[in-house]
Amino acid sequence: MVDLDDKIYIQQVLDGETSSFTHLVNKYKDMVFTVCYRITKQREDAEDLAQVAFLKAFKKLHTFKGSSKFSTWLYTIAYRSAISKYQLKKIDTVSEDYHMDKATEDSFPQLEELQGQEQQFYVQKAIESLPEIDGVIITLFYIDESSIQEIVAITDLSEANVKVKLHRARKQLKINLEALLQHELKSII
Amino acid sequence: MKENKKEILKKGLMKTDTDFTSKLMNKINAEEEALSNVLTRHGSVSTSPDFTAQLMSQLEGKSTAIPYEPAISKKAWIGIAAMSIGLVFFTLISGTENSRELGVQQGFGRVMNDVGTFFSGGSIFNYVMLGSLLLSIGLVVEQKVGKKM
Repeated sequence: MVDLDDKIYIQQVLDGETSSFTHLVNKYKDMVFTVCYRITKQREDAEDLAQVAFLKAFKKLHTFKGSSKFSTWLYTIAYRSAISKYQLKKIDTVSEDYHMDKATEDSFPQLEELQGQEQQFYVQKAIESLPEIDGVIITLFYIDESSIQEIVAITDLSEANVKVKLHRARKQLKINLEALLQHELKSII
Repeated sequence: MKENKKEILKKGLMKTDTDFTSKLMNKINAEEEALSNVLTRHGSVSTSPDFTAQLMSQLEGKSTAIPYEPAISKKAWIGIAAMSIGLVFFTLISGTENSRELGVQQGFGRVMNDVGTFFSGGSIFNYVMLGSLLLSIGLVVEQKVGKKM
C-alpha cells in the first residue's frame, strides 16, 4: 500500500535521520498546502496549517502503520487540523446550496483567451467559489487522483456524501469554467 | 385495454441512432477529461520557496516520539480484570446453595473463613470491591494515558 520510496524515508526518519523527512515534505508539501488553502482561502494561514500538519506527522510518524497510503494519512492530518481550526463541520452541514450569484458568474471571462497565469487565477477563483469541503474533495479527486474511499478516509464523510458533493462541485465548476472547458474539449476531440 | 394502450404508445416511441449511447458516453468522458486536465494544470497552489527550510529548522534536534509500550499489556489487563470479575462471581454463586440466607453475605462469609485471619480487621467484600474499583481506575488511566502518548 505504501509507496516504496516513502517507506524507505519513513524508516530512515524513525531511525533518527530527521533530514530524510525533507524528501517527504518536498513530495507532499504542495498538496498538503492546497488542501489547507481550500479550507482557509488565505495563503498565510494555509502555510501555517501546512507546517503544523507536517510537524504533527513527524511527531506521530511511529503511529503510521502503512495500512493506507502515506499521502492519505498525511492529508487526513492536514484536513482535520484545518477543519478543527476553522470549525467547519457545523457550517458545512447547513450549507446545502451554492451561493453563486450572477455577479460571480459574470466575473469569469472567456477563459480560452487568457494566458496560463490568468487561466490559473480564474480556475482558482472557480474552486474557491465552492464550499470549502467541496473544494478539498475536488482537489483530492482530480489533482491528487485520490479514490472515493481515500477521500472518505480523509474527510470522515460518508461515501454517499462524498459522491454527492463531488457531483455538485463538478457541475458547478463546469458552469464556471465553461469557456475554458470548451477550449480544452476542442483539443481532446 | 390496458395492453392495447401500451402497444399504441410503443408505436409512437422514436428510435435513437444505434451509436447514440456511445456518442453520449464519449461526450461525457471528453467533458470529464477536459475538467480533469484543466484542474490538474491550474488547480493546485504552491507553497512559498522557503517552506521546507522553515519546517526543517523547526524539526532540528527533534526526533519522532518513542512508541509508548505499557509495562502491562492490554491483554494482561483484560486477564486480570476477568480474574477479578470471576472471583466476585464465585463468591456470589458459592453462597446461594442450601441456604435462604442472602447469597452475597454467605459467599463472602465463606471466603472470609477460608482466607482466615489474613484480613482480620475488615470485611472481604470491602476488600474485593476496593480491589475491583482500583483495577477499573487502573484500566481507565492505562487506556487514556496510553492513547495520548
